[in-house]
Amino acid sequence: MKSGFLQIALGIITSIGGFLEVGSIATAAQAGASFRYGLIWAIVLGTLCLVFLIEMSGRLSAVSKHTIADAVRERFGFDFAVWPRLAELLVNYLVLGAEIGGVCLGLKVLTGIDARWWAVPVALILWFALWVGTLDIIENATSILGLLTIGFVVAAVKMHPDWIPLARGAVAPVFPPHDQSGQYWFTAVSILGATISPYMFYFYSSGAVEDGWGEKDLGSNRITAIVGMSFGALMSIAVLVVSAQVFNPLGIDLKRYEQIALVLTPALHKWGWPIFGISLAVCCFGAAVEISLASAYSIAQTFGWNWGEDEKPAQRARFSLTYTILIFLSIIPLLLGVDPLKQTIFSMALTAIVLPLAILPFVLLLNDETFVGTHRNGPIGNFVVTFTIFMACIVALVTIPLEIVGGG
Amino acid sequence: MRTVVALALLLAACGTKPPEAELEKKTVASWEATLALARDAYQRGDVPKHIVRNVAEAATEEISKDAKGHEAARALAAAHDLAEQAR
Repeated sequence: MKSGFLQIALGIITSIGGFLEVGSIATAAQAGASFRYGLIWAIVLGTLCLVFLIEMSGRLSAVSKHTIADAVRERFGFDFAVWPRLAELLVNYLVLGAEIGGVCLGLKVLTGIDARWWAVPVALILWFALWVGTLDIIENATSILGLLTIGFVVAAVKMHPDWIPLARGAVAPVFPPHDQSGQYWFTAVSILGATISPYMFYFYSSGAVEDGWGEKDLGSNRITAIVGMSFGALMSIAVLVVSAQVFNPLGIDLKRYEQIALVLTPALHKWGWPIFGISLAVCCFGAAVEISLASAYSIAQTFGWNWGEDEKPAQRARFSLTYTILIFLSIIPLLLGVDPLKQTIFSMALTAIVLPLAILPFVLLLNDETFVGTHRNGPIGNFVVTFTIFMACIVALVTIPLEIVGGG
Repeated sequence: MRTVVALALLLAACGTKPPEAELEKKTVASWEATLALARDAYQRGDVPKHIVRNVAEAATEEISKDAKGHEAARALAAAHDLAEQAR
């Protein structure tokens, strides 16, 4: 059983790995460069929804001792559970490829060696860490290294942003000229897809069950959800603000990671590029850990296999095989020369499409006394989930048309 | 459900693509600004050679793919010069 402090570490790694990753860095940087502070509201809105959903994932696991995938299978049956999980697995495959691509790009920034050369070594290191590591070791290492991302906040403050327009951008959309509206809304959808990632719920709820959370942990679960996700949101907003300060006045439209690598240089000078490279590599590695585990968790739990990162691989062979296959297949696009930034943006938009499938069960499970007893959702929680499902449906429907007009 | 679909279509209809020539001009201007940013940082000693080379290579690939004409040729020459400086 973990102490409250270590429990919050789970929230921080969930936020570093799930929040600040290749998708949120890319979408936030693009948003800042193209629309200055005009899309901060999308990060804020996504984070608010995410805080509630993460808290609910932890509450469900702490009270019922079920993970989300377990509970969905038990409550709705295997036939209902299996298809959404397989659709999410497909999306996770692309997102994992993008994250491994992000680690490789971080290493390219640090060494100058082409990203493709790093794909196989990074996949091997990731697989090895999951094979021999425990959840505690992975959580703590990523949490500590991930603190380097504070460099983005330092840079944002050093760049002297305009605080009033920034605050305005955080509370309401700032509409661009008509010919940019397609790109604006596509970027907003990608930010929401990068922020509310379904794999985070499976990772968080499975981690809570593995760590043996109970009803007494509900208070720290709430703090973890708020602190962890707010930390991630702060970093993401910092990326957007620095990008808005550096690229927007110069009219730079971000198409490649090589451009984004310059983002910290005007503020942090010689420290800019190594901090960017390490942050990108660490955050994406954290995300790759989370996606690999979350995919294996959700598939193993849906099919009723043994699972658990803290068990020996031989004791949960099919669980380990799932992440092994996923990791090595996911590097194929990178090895074939697919542009990592394009794969990232495309996979974030696809994440938005599968979002309603992932969130829908929350309404029923978190109001079902057989799972959560007296700890059911209150009216605010139900409103937020209903709103998120409504928003997710709109986002899912507009993603493909917006990709055609604005995804370029 | 009908309301959701209507809202979705309305939102999607908000987007139109700017004309091709304007996009090309914007792409070239964006890469010229990126090259200038990288060159200035390199001259100040803030970034190493390989970062500058990465930017110059990316600029060459993207401009060759997306743009033609005098402005594109000028930007390609600037990328080539920067790559040479960082050798």
